[in-house]
Amino acid sequence: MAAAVGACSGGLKKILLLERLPRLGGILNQCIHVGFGLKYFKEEMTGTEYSARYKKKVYKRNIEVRTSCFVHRITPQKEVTFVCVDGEFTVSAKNIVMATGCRERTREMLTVPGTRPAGIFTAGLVQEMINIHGVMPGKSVVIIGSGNIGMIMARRMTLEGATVHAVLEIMDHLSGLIRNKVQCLDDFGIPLYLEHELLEIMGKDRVEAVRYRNNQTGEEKLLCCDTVLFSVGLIPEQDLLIEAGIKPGNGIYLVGNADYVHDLVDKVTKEAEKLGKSMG
Amino acid sequence: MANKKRKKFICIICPKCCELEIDGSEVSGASCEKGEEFARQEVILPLRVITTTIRYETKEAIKMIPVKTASPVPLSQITGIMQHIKQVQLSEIPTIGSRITLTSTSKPIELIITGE
Ligand SMILES: Cc1cc2nc3c(=O)[nH]c(=O)nc-3n(C[C@H](O)[C@H](O)[C@H](O)COP(=O)(O)OP(=O)(O)OC[C@H]3O[C@@H](n4cnc5c(N)ncnc54)[C@H](O)[C@@H]3O)c2cc1C
Ligand code: SF4
Repeated sequence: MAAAVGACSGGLKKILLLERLPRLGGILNQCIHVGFGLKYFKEEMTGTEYSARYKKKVYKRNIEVRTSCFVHRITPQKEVTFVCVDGEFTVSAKNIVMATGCRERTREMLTVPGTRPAGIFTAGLVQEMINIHGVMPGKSVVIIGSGNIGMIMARRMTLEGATVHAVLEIMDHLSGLIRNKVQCLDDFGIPLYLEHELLEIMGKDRVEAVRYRNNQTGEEKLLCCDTVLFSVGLIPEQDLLIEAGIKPGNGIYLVGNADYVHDLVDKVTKEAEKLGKSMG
Repeated sequence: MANKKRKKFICIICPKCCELEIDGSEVSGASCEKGEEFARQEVILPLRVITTTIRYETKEAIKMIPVKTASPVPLSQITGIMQHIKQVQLSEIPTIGSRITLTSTSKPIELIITGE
């Protein structure tokens, strides 16, 4: 959105914004918590408010917006192929901005020994399940990794009536922002165990427990739960470029979380607007 | 001996996360006035904004409507207030920015719709 708005302000006349979901806004639409917009809008707002406010800028301008359009190919000749309900289309462009965000790391989920019962999720997926679809994935939760999404979901699940037993972090320090530890964990008495490693997920059909080790003392413990959430980092979504063997440059750009993982949307917006303007 | 009145907090008002220390009404460590206010409030009664969703259900679909409290509420009352928010029944999808007043709580609480 911000790259399109920037490009429009920079004087570009033909701008096409493609989004695979039915609405614009990306990850913001599932972020119902406050902590957005202080820098850009000079106001503390929720992710959903930020998304709605910024969308207005897009729709006010001469930008062609197409939602429910999935881009599946980009070529070095700067052709973009996407599919939507009307079929498959290819357009060619002078500039292509990939603002495809990031995806959650799941490798840790796959390499943890143990059975593969139901009840194992990434934190961002659970955020979408609860905040958008209104589905609670479990009642008795352990969170692996102290990333921001994990801590925010610890609070969210607690508010929705679940018991979050602990957040296990293998490193000796928090990986998310300390304000999120204060307002998401400390406020609700959820313990953070640093230097604790997940060893095994147990359970037949459904998660029944996790086994973990305190790496300082070597002590191992079991914790009963029915749900395990992973919040172990994000990976920029650059597959379209990688598949086509394209390096950014020459009119092909990466911006936002697709470029590198940002903590704050305000920064994403500013960088993308600047990039957009520079193309004008 | 440690001064009993002295307390340490992490300011949660903005992502800078300043480490605050309050001694009586003297606040140190804050980079701005908001942080000083936060520390003074935190020793009296910690306040937080609640953000959650209200379920809007029709025969065809479920839509989760995101809301926040218009002003921060006492941390210790959050669980109770959540119960009341859960009871809210909507007859239509409210527009973003509109308000709902919870009257079932001991003091009325204003909720702001935060999503479309
Ligand atoms: C849980 C969580 C909490 C956060 N908390 C805060 C906070 O408190 N404060 C704050 O400022 N920031 C926060 N952030 C960070 C901030 O929200 C993000 O950095 C920012 O919104 C990322 O924007 P983006 O446009 O780069 O990516 P995204 O929002 O992920 O957008 C990418 C878009 O590209 C679309 N897309 C991807 N691939 C394709 C394709 N092939 N074809 C078509 N469309 C495609 C996706 O559907 C998506 O809509 C948080 C992030 C998360 C995940
Ligand atoms: S004291 Fe001011 S700058 Fe520091 S975290 Fe609090 S609000 Fe932010």
